[in-house]
Amino acid sequence: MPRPSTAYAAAHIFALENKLLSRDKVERMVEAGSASEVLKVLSETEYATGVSELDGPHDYEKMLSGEIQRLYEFFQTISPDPEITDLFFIKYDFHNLKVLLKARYLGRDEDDILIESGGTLPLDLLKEAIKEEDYSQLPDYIRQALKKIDEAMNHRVDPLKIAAILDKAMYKHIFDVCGKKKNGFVLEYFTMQADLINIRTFLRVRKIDESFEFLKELLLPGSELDEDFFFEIMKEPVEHIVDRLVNKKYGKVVKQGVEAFLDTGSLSTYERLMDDFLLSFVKASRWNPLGIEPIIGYLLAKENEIRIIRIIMVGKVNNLPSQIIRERLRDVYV
Amino acid sequence: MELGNVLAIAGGALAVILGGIGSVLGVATAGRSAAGVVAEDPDKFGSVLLLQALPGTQGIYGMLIAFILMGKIGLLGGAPVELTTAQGWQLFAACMPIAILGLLSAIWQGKTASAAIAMVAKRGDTAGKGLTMTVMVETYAVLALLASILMINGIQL
Amino acid sequence: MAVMRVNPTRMELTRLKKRLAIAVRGHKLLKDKRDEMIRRFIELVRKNKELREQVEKELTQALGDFLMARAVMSTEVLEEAVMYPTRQVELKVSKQNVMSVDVPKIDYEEKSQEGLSPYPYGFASTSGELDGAIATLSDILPRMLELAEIEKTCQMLADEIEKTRRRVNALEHIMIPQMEETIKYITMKMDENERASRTRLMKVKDMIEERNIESSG
Repeated sequence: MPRPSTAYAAAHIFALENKLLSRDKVERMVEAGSASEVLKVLSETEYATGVSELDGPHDYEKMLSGEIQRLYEFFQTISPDPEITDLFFIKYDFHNLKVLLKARYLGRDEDDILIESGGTLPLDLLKEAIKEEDYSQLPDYIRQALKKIDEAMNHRVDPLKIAAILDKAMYKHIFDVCGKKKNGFVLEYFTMQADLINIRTFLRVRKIDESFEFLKELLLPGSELDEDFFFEIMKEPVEHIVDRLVNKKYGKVVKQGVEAFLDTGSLSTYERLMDDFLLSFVKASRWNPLGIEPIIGYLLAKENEIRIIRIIMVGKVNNLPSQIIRERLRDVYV
Repeated sequence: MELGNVLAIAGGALAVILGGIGSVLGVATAGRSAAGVVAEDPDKFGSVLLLQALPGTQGIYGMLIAFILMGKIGLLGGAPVELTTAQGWQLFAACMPIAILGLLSAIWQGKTASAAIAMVAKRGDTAGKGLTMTVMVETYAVLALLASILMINGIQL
Repeated sequence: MAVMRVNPTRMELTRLKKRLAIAVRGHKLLKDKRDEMIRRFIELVRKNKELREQVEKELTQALGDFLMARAVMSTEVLEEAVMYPTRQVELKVSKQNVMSVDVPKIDYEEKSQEGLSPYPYGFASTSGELDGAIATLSDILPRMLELAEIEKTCQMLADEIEKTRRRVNALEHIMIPQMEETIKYITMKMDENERASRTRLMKVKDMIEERNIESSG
């Protein structure tokens, strides 16, 4: 099938951006008195169909996964370069792989926590391959990771290791594709994402008092901050990382996030700043009507929106005060 | 036929060809964007069509110069003037402003039109502003056109 | 106070007196038992309250963390993160005797495999808020078990105290006064009989003496 041109996709997406949740809708949702009121606000938006199919406010997760599926299908048809846009969806494949592998080692079925659609590979293919331990039908990058896991698990099953190997494989694949595509924008995005995730992992490892060896297993490849950087910083007080990274684009995120982390011991601020930063990075470069930027931007905006709705819904269903919800709320794209 | 005539005709042809290529590329770029918008929001067809058409003018300018040139050297009247090689080069050079500028400005105007179309997609009421911005690129094509016309008229045969 | 329906015989009296002695002794013992149980109960209840508040506070926090982790991750990702536990706990419930009450005693043994991290998920795809929740929950488990043990013990002790109290009351207010009354009644009845037979004897003696005077006179 001939791919739509980038200009076409970008313009189509500019038109769609109007349908994203606006700041003021989000504000109304946060202020809503109950979960069903939030749904009422949502039913004035693009989510109206999803809302009308719900049995009740507690069912919202179904609506959100439906939205991810729709997003993926939409990108299948509109993306001018599926190889790049798929990079943003392979996390669902890897999620399913983790579930299937763990289920195999546990010897039970956990099909209800698989993500049915949204991944780039058919779920049945993954299921079959994991069940039969025959990886020949799978893409190279997954096959290698699975072989590595099988070897590592021979001795003893370690769920952390399964996840760590798969996470590493995923980022390695992402950077391989970025390198092949020579797309500076996507490469920079993922590099900064890997950096920020690695810093978060570092903070988490420090919090639970683990060693560098433990951290090394979890670091993602492709990050500008290599193992040596973390090896050095593991020996120093946590706050030193702020000075080391002050010249990075995300220096401010690290500064504020680490300060909040040292203050409260919670990473929620860091995570919010991280998401906001990555989104604003895309936001800043989206005004290129002939590039892939607005397309990626819309994709991330949509994911961000789903995250916002989830935070609000979880908060409302559990009657959390608006304040706690707002603390974790991400910025909006439009 | 003398070399001078060949050169003059080549100049006119280049003006049409390059201006035309520029317009084709520009209109195509803008057209893709326009299609993307209309796919989502068919009501905006009117305003995006106007924006898409803007890069098309360079091709017309090229053709206009070609006609003026043809009139000048008598091709239209069926009694071609015999040109010296120097005159031929002069006419060839006079065509170049619109040929080269037409090509480049149309391509870039197409991109600007794309951006303006994207803007219209987001906010329907900005069609006029988008039009103004896109027309700004046109200015230089018009200047080139003017320069070419004056030069052709000024050349003594 | 009602008197028991007994024959006012000497044998019955001896039996009753023996029973009374036992009842009084039993009453004293039960009272001691009750007092001791209440003392222990209060101690336990105090400890229970303290522990409960502590556990509840931490549990609220852990659940709050969990909730927020749940908010920033999708359900599937969260469940995947925790689907393969690296720590197992084996529980053994045995009995323990407190003041003749069988209360449960919970022993637990943690079976974590050497070298496995207690965090069974990758750090790249999960939120940091999950770590806090997992750490608090695993910290809290021993105390939750202790709380369960104490709370059940309190309940059983309370039942037993109630039962003992009823017994003490029954002894104190019904059995003992009843028996005392009956003993009094039997004694009085027997005294009465005594007096009646003595009067009768005196009367007979008078009559015999009269007859003797008459025959000699």
